[in-house]
Amino acid sequence: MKQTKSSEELFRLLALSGQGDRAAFQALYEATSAKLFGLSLRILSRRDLAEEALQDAFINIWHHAQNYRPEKAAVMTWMTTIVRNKCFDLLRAMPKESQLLEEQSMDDWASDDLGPLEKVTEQSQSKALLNCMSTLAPLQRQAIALSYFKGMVHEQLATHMVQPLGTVKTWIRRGLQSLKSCLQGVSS
Amino acid sequence: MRYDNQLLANMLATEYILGMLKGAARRRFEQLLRQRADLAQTFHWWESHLHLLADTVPATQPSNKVWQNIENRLFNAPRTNSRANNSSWWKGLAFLSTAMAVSLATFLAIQSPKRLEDIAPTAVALLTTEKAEAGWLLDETKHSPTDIEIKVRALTSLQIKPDNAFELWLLPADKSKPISLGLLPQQGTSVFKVPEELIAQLATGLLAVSLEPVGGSPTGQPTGAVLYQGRMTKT
Repeated sequence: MKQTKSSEELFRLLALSGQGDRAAFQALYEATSAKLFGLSLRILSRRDLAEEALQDAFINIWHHAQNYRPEKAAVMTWMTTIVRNKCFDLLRAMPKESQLLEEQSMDDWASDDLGPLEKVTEQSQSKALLNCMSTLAPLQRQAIALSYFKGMVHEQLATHMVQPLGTVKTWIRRGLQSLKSCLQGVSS
Repeated sequence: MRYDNQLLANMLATEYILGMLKGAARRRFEQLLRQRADLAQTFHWWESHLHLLADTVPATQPSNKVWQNIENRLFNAPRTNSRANNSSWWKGLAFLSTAMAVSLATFLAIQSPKRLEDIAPTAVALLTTEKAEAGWLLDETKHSPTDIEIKVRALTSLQIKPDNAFELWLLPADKSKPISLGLLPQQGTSVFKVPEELIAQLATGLLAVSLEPVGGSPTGQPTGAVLYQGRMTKT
């Protein structure tokens, strides 16, 4: 798996793609598609749709490569935003009953056992995030994960988690506050 | 920044990134972001950290056809669908739209940096069978309240039927007769403009795809089985 390209290298490939360099664009795809496909699969739970979303996202990435501004976001952050938005468009268009096929894996993700997940990333920053996520109350963590990976807004979270709206809002807000304190503690 | 302002900044930034801020609130936040450096700083901190969640998902290799499709869509001459329906009124449109897409891409390319949200579809529909097999993805772009365009893309999972045509129907919410929206491509994409008088009905009605003889329904009403359904959903 070619997931080890540095962010400088990704920036170089994206900048070249913005100038119409197809080989650079292919290299960018090879370096990032597995990670971004993992994200699409997590959001959409279906391989066929996840592949469609990934396709659409890379079409967008090609067309907008020259609008990328390095001072605003890292390449991977920028690409992740595009993929996530494409996936949510598809998710919203899906028939309602098939939207949450994979609730189970979401709960697994949010469970206390984050051990194996540490193996999936080499980035120390991501490991720090996982460690900090694991310090949150389980329901706070689950609310944040459902929002990030399933695009649920407060009202949907309240329905899904069978809680009053105010409670869910508080979980998210407090969960994110704790996450920030934890992450800032790590970096300082 | 005062403490409570910092709390508010954190809340707005995270709600924006997670997708919880919608419509006017979203645009207001984007405006504030351009005006307030402190808010922008909070936003970028959250953006760079929250998206690390995506990095915690195991990488999975997509199938090879994904890259092939991307290459085809971006770099190959648009595949004219020779098997498709000669009398399709979309055929001319599809050709025109390819030309438009090229000029649009050029237009986008020479424009000043633009947020992706500005060109995001305003509504989408996924047309699926009863078994949730996906056939087409429809993206609606609203250029103005009366100028609405829909891009249709045949998905790779679509079961192609060379001896037939797929016709798209709008089933109005008031249960009046189905209205033909034209024939769907079996490969690649096409774009059509929504007739002004159908804009309101499209938002509330259902979409259905029937199997028809090549060239489309001879009667102006669906004659074959309805294989796919969906509805436009606001994004």
